[in-house]
Amino acid sequence: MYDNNPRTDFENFPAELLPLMAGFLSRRKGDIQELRLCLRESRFNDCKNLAHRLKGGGTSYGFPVMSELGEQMEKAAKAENRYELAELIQIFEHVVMKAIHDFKLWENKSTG
Amino acid sequence: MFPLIFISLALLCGVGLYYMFLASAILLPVLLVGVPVAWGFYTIIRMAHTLDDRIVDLGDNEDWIPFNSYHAPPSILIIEDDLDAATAAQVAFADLGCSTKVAISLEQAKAMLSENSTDFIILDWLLQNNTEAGQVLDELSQNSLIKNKGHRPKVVTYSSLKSEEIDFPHSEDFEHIEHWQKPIRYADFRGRSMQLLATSGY
Repeated sequence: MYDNNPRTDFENFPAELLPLMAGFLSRRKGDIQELRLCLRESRFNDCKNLAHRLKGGGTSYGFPVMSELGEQMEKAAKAENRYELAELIQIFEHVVMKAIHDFKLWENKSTG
Repeated sequence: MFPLIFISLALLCGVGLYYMFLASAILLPVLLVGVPVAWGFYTIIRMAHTLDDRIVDLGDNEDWIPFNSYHAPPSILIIEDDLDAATAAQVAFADLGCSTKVAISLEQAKAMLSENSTDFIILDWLLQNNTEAGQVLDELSQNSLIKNKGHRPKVVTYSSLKSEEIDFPHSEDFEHIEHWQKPIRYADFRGRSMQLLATSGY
């Protein structure tokens, strides 16, 4: 359904945004915790707001899959569909962790 | 011995004077004619550069031609509660030579609009706590400091919402010119920003 292995050739990412990438990905990691907490406490409105923000931001930084997942999470939160939301958060976590891993590899490679 | 030294010195002085005369005969015309001609060329080249700077090729997104010397760099206020989206927008506009500021709340936006003249506002329609930008604009319009500035900033709404979902209030203080729907790739955002500046005369 989703491209769980997003494009990770950071050389083709917007060069201007690469210095911001580590911070961006680290904040997305924080979003996973936040989404899980909101879901556990059934704060669907907070889930929806956070997912809405993810929908807007991912594509700018070269991760359209994060925007797609954000959109789906927003819909699931609106419908208060706990199971779908939990599944989507898990996929989102996989995408974020893979991106962090690939970015670290790329950083190490580019710094020699 | 003495006359010999005297004659040598006199000869040297004579030769020196002769060469000085020759040098001035050559240098003076060069200075009188050459300098004005060189200055003329320099002025023409400068004028050509100034005219060249005014031409913005909308079809070419690769290279940005810097703003011409008649305009100050456009000032952009980005009102956006998502720090990452705001930073990406700020980087794009700064890269195009604009002066940029980010406000992540209504209070910050009010303060920035009071302190500085703003040419463009990139406005996230849905701010934190479900504050709609319409409310933001209403509050900003009520701020007399903004009204008295005599500026009418151009507003681009920037949101995941569709344009038909945006109900931009009629305002004498702000001019809504475009709606950009998120998500937008960075390169596209930069391209749109470039076009926005060009079509607005920058």
